[in-house]
Amino acid sequence: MWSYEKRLQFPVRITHPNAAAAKVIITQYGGPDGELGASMRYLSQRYTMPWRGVAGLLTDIGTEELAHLEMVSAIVYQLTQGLSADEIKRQGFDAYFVDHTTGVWPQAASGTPFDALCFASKGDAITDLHEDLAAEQKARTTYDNILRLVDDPDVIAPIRFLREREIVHFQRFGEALERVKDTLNSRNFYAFNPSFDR
Amino acid sequence: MNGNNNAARVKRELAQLSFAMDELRLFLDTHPEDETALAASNEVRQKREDVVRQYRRLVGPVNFYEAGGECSWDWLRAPWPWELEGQDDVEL
Repeated sequence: MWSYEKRLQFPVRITHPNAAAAKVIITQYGGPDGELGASMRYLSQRYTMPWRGVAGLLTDIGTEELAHLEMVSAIVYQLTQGLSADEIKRQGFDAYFVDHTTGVWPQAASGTPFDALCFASKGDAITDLHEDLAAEQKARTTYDNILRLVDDPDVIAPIRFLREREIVHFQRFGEALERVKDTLNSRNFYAFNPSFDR
Repeated sequence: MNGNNNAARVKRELAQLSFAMDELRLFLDTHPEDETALAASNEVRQKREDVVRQYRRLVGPVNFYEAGGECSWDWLRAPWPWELEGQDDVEL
């Protein structure tokens, strides 16, 4: 089960609303490399992970991604408060506004709704860990792109924090993959699925 | 004013100590026998337990399992973390 902590992992305090920034940052909520897909990816993969430590890593990173989901939501929420309909229109947020007002909903920056096809749970320890390494890099690239598009220090600070976490997670998944490969059965030279072919 | 300063201090300390534990947790998942990390984890956990008690008194319960109250439900005392209210004293 999960136990909610009434705090953000890193503070979000945005005093200047900016719907144009919210429109791109929402992609890290429900976009192809966003935090919703990240948490669901790791929390789905852990059941068929035969190594207890790696299942622990998937649980703990999956849980941290839920905290990142909350941070991204807080950024989007604060960026869209206190705006007039005219400002929403001028800042290009009208297409989102007509469907959701300022409610937070998982979609990509392009408007494409969240799709579970943006992540995989393949039931193969080696396949899944390669997916996870790629996912962390894709999320890092997305945060890099967000940092190219925003200039408000209140927005930059939490986005930078989230970007750094992708790098740490990539490092930990790399160590997990090495551990898995080191402990494969010596007859399993071609790394056939260690989750299924026991 | 003093109360506000103390609240700001425990908010900052809770964020810092919790983050240290988040980081150590992932490191220990892939280095479960690392003695330095284990010692750091025990040290940070003890400090955090103390700060959580101070936070509960000055701000409110951080975790639902600590929530309660005599005449009102203190889980709702502090603003939700995405609200701007109550964040004036948070340092980025």
